[in-house]
Amino acid sequence: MRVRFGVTTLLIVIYILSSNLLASGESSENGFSFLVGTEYQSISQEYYDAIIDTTNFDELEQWELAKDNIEEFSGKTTIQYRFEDSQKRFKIYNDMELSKEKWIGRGDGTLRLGNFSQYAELNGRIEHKSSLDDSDNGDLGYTTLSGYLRGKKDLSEKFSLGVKISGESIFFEEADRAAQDDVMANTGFYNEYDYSLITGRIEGQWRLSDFGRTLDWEIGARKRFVPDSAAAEYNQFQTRLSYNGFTESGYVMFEIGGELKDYAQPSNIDDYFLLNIDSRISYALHPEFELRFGSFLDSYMYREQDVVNRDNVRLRFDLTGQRQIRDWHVGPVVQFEIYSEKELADDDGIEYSDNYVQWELGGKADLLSGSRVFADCSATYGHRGYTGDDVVITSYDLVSLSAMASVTFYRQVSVLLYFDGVFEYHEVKEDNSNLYILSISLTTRF
Amino acid sequence: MKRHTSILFVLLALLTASSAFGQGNGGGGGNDFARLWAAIEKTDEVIERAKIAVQESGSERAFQELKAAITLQEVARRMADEAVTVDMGIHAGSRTLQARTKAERAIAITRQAGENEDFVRKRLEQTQEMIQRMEGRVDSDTPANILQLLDSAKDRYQRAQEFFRNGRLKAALQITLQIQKSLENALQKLGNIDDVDKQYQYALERFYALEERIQESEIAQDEAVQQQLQAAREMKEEAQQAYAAQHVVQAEMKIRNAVERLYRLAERLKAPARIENELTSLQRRLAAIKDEIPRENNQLVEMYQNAEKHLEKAQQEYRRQQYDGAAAQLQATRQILRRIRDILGE
Repeated sequence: MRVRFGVTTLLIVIYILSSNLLASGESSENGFSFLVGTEYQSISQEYYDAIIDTTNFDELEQWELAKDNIEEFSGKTTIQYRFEDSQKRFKIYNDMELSKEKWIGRGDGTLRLGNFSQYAELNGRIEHKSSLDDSDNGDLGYTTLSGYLRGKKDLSEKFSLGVKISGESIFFEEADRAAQDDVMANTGFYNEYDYSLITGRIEGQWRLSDFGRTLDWEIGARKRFVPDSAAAEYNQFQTRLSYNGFTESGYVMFEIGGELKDYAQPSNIDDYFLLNIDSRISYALHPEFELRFGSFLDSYMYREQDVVNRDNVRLRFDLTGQRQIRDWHVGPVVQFEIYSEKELADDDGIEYSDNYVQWELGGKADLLSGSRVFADCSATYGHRGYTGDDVVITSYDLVSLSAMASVTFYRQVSVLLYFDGVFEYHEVKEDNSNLYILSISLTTRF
Repeated sequence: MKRHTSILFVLLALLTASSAFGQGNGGGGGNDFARLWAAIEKTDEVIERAKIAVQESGSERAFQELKAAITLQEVARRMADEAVTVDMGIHAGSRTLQARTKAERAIAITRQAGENEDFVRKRLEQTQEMIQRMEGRVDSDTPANILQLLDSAKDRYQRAQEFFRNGRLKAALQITLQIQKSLENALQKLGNIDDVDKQYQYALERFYALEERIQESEIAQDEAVQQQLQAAREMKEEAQQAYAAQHVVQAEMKIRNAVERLYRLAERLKAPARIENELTSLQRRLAAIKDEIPRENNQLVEMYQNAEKHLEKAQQEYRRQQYDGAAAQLQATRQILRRIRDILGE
């Protein structure tokens, strides 16, 4: 059945491709554009589940390799209308995806009035996913409605102000709710629930020089409504201040931000204040060799500390180099991360934590200089070592591989390859966890 | 490991209560039953916290651990209810501690970035903003491969959203991180500042400043340098034509390439000072090592004389403003000097 569906989709795509080989046109030009494509996707997440056998007195727990596998072959169509001139931009599109397991429809419209530096923009979007009868991956169907209204205005030569209000609601399919209710009845828990999010944000930019140096700030608030769970409902407040500067040989960014989250439940459980301090520096040591450094600090401070929430600090450093060799940029990747949290004492006064130190080493390469090809790939090997007295997850070696590449031929016919894999090899086999995502798609525009 | 020791301690405590259990639920066993039920209640508390944490994180993997914890706790409770023997009491205690470990493990999983809904949502929102920023930057002049990258990023972003909504947080996070890396690269290519027009103007100013510096320098007499200058000027003119035709993004990319070319030329301006410093330094080092060379060691004497010859040639090349040649001679001098030092060290 799967093979027949795949072959049918492929034939349709080949037919459309062959009838449009001579068609031309850029997606960024005004007017209608169409996209037809097909995609093969394979996702696998593996980890060990503990199976509790309540009928056997001695051998109560057994480990079983759990796999969350998706393997699907889908077809996709997109119709887009776009109009743009110097003072307005209008874009509306609809896309549909169909596979044996699901169908997804999306509609999205955006209207922008004004030019690039001063504008008002309105967006609305709807997305619906239905799991089809053959689906056995446990996914729930859903409908989401979302949209935003945003604007930006130069108040003076040096200062601009922006505002954004956005909303998003998600409704899971009622037909599947019965299954959720079963889970709820058995465990008192379910993890897919309807909710709505409303976010408001004001941002400003102060240009410190004619070019290149700016001071940006932002304040925002968010509220999440969850009809079925007070524990998941919250108010959130955010603020951020950042400095961006360009020099002859590089780029500098420093940012400090704060976030306050207050859950609707009566107690202070889960409420926290988060402090972020980030920096990014890029420096051209040589016209053909650039060094990029990033540091990222997150510090969580909880109103009430408990077994789940403990004050913690996470600090990560990234160092990458980039040398141009012909059209490619290649370079090393070095990452170091340290996590430290307040230790928690158990009933016997013994303190424990999930503190760890992690490092990763590897390389990356990207190709963006051509006109019809792009590629971006990286590979790293690393280790996370838990340093606390007692941990429930063991230390592990980590291998990460990622690649995204696309080539366009026959005018607007493109092939996209995407691969992402994260493989954890723990000291204890039952803690191992692997994930890989592979996707190959063929699309044409006309 | 220490906590496992404490678990054993609880079990041993239960063992010592064997006589009480042996006599049923009454008498001196009351305290031990109280300890068992206190342990069960403690596990209940941890499970309740785990439920909230898992619900908040949306992690399927953590949910499976939690389910196992709940099942084990039910077994423990049933055994404790029915406990009339030592073994049953010990088993009940053991089960509730296993259940607690499972619940703690569920919590630990939710605290990992790839299993936390809030963390993944933030990355998705950042990605959406990057896509919007990039959409604002592309026009009909944008290179086809950048448009391709943007299309691919949007396509993958939609897939990440789908995974996120269906609780596949780790997959959603991985895709999001990959898209962010690719978009960052592309935005750097397009220029990371929103105002392309100003970026173009700035690059043009840099072009004129660098051109003037090179033109007034000694290297301007070099024919190869003149050719490079001419090529850069042609690129600048192409950029100006693109700008006049209101193709600002294309103009900005062209002028940036022209500036990069001049920047490489300007690097050569620093060469004389570097070579002069190196000449002085090597002269000093040669003089310092001269007395250390034994006159009877012909090999070393010959090597030293060769080093002197290379240094002299370097001075000649420097005086003739042949900096590449001077640099090569200096390199040869350095190598011989290093070899002499090695032999003397032996």
